[in-house]
Amino acid sequence: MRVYWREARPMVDWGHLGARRFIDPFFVQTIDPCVRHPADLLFRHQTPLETLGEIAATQPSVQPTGFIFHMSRCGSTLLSQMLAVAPENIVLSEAGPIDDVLRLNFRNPEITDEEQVRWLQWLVGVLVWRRHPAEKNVFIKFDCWHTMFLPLLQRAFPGVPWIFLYREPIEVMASAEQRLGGPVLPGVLPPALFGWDAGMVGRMQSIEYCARVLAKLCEAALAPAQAGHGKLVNYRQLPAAIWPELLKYWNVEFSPDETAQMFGAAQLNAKNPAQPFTADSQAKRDSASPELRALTRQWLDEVYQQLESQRLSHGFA
Amino acid sequence: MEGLDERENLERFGDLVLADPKLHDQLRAATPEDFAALAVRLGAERACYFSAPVVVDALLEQRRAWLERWF
Repeated sequence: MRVYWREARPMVDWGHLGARRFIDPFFVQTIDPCVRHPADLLFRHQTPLETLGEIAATQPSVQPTGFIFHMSRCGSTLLSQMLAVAPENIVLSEAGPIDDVLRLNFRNPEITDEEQVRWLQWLVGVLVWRRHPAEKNVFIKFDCWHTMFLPLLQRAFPGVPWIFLYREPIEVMASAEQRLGGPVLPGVLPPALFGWDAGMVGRMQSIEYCARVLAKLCEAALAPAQAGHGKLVNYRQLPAAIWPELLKYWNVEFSPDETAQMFGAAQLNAKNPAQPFTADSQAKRDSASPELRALTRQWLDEVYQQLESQRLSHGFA
Repeated sequence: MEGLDERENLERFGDLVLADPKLHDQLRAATPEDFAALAVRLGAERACYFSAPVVVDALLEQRRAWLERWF
């Protein structure tokens, strides 16, 4: 359920999932019930991270099928929720333990890429143990800032087809401004991750920081896409326009019934499935203040055009 | 020092629970309200002596750590 430091040693904190599938919008929502009962909250196995490899090998895993990277607030949860409908899919949506491993060298810079690659492989191997006979595909939707780790993740999982989801920047910025939080808040991530220092970040207004982080995420995906890796997907292609190409790219097939159920899931609010989906692109554009538009133009418009150009020339039809 | 001994005893009991799935299931069968008392009784049966407040404190710590990680 998480990887954490116990003094100088990274440890794995285990929970008992039982038969629970990863069908919630986010990983944390699936595992939170694992610690709801006091007997599970208080008594949990804790093992050193270095033993995770042996543990991972004790049960069969499913190999990763496809990865979803994204700039946030751009339909990534819609896509992961659609995929989660099918019982043959294990879908990890912003799994905290993956984030924990990627952050380990923030505290200990001596941790090498090779160690992180190994730990990521072991960790994912455990997270995708086959717990139901039908399971044969694994999709991982990463946290948006994990796009900065694309090279490391490609090393850990070579050959896994990935996509980068993005959206008209003003719509993302308008959404972020309404609920500024997570990795686009100053201080949550180390400035060095983006090639900045603390002084530079300290001089940025929060909303400017948000715009510049989003730009960095887009740039981090654009470069490998231009080198022929991965595929770029614009939010407005979701879901129907892109679906056949996505399945072909990921080499998966679903039955007509499953496809119908997946598109049924697309009619719901991905983050709150009790509510219906409401198209909000126009509302977001209309709500943007002049300041927001100026920041978006300054930091995001150019990389967005580059993403679009790359997508149109080398992406899905 | 009594409190420290009780925490150590609770930890020892925790090791026994993790090594014995049936014992863990027995604890899971308790309601949240009855859990502390059951843990105290089952612990005492195994020479691990601690009080209900120690169990409650440990639960609060774990819940706080869990929430801090995710929220």
